[in-house]
Amino acid sequence: MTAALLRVEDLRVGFAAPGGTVRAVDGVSFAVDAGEIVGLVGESGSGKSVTLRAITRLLRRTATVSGRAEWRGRDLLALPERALRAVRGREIATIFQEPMAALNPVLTIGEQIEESLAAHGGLDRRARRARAVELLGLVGIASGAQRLRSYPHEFSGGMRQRATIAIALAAQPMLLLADEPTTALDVTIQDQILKLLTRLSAELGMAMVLVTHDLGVVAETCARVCVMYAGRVVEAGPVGTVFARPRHAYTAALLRSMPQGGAARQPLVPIPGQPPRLDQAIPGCPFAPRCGFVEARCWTDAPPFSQVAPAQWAACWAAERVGAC
Amino acid sequence: MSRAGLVAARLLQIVPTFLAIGAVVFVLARLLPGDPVSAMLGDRATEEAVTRLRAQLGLDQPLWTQFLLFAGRMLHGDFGTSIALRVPVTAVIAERLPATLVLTALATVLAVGLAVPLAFVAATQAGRWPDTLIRAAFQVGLSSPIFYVGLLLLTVFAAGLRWFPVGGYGDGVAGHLYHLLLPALTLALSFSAVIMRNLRAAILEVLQAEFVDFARSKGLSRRVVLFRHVLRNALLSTVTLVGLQVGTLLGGAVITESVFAVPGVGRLMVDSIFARDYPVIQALTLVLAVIVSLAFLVTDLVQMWLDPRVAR
Repeated sequence: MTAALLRVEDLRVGFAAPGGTVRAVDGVSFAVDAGEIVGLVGESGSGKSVTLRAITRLLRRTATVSGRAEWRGRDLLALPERALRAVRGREIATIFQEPMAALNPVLTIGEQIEESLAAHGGLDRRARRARAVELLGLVGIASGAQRLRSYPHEFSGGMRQRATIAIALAAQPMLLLADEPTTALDVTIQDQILKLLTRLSAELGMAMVLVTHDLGVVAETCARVCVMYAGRVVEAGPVGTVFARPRHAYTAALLRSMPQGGAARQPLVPIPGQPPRLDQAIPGCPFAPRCGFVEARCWTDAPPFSQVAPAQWAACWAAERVGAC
Repeated sequence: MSRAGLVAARLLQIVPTFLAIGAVVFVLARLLPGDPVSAMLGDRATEEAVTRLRAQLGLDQPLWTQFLLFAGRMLHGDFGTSIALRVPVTAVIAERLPATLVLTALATVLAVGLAVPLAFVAATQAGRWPDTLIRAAFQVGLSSPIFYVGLLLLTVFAAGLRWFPVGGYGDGVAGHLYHLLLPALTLALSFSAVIMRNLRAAILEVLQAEFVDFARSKGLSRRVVLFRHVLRNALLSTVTLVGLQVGTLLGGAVITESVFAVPGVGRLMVDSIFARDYPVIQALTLVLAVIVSLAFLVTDLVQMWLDPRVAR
């Protein structure tokens, strides 16, 4: 196996809350290779967005972060602020769920693209403008020269997300962290944006971590997937393998709760119950109360994250039985 | 609508405002108990003298005749003659207005200059000691009455240390500024406290916005994130606040001018009310109303300039 571009190890993020510390991310590890698209999938509150934001330290002061985020030999979580700024945008860019909220309402699209270019130097004003037009063209926004003078509120939802992608791509990053980039968009636009992201990833050789709650999005775009539950990665592997033969009871339940595009009319099976509270320690498997495969030790011992197939890992005591279904 | 069109429309709106205020102020002045004749001649004046003076001043005419006369002249820019001072009202106001305008403008500059950097420090250090210190200091400023602050500054810096004059308006621009600095500071203190609190809250709110995270994720320096992305958005509500406070500031000038013996329109207004000097009261109220309207207009323009979502 080649050296990974990004290697997240035992990442933990806690938020101080009145009832005790909320363990939003509880020992997450995963790796991203160059040019690869990895999906981080889970329900709301599973810690996937927090994981993403912790990597480039975008979380607020109230968050306590530990673990490692190794990026090209350096730990981002221990990097001095100045060195981290050189990585942000230039090497690792981020896009967010709600483009209207991510764009500054009082600055033009052009100003917001050009400040990214200016921050990482190397271009004069005129070259920055030319590059900004080029970037808008790259994400499918025509007549870029005029669009540069537009403000975010003058764009449609899909155009805004295209604009944030243009901003993120400005300094030619090697990795794009995408936090639910299509969730806030219309279904038809969602598909366009996903196709754009996969195309850009392939053309520019840019790796991507795609956070989503939508398994369909993962199936369509990602090579590998990490399934998250209650702040932990419970299963990881190639998308095809994981979806065809899940080894964690939660992944299996999640797949059954999702409509299958071309498949026969199978009834959807919702997952009963709620995800656990994260402000108290969970002794066993966090999914145990909702699990159809639950056994005695699930309540007391946390299952180890172990290899269950050639490239597949799962943290489930019932992995054999789940895989046999 | 284009910006020029918007400005023109706003300027036209001032005209009806002007007329309405004219009518209200005409009635209000006459609702004051007493009249200028008894104020001038005193209690022991003869019946004959009172009648003669009333006729001379036009006060024997029916009220509506007086109003039409007043409104007609007003449209020609003629506000009549001061009853107490016996000179044209326009001349009196033209003489006194600059001091008040300079005082108010200087107070605004001082208040904003004091509040904006400190609000910035307080918000970025929220919950730590600089924040606590700044907020406590402004709380004192906010809760101290203007006349008390004025007297305090006067006692310490003018009478005690003799750094500043005790009162007056001075000569030349430098002299004016020198004489008006203490009174302006007096006015500015409570005003800046209001601005500081508003701006601090606005900055804290903007800091939560996702575009701040996005800006940070681009690798921008902390300075660029704070000034370009946070401060500009936070100032939007503060600009409105400053504009709306101009009227209050003019009201505060009345007290400050009295404490520091500044020959401005604030004191003129007080004197005119005591003398029941109807023409001066009316004209002055109108002038102040126009100034406040213009301040609102300027506020809207600044707002438009700062926020592209307005106006287009």
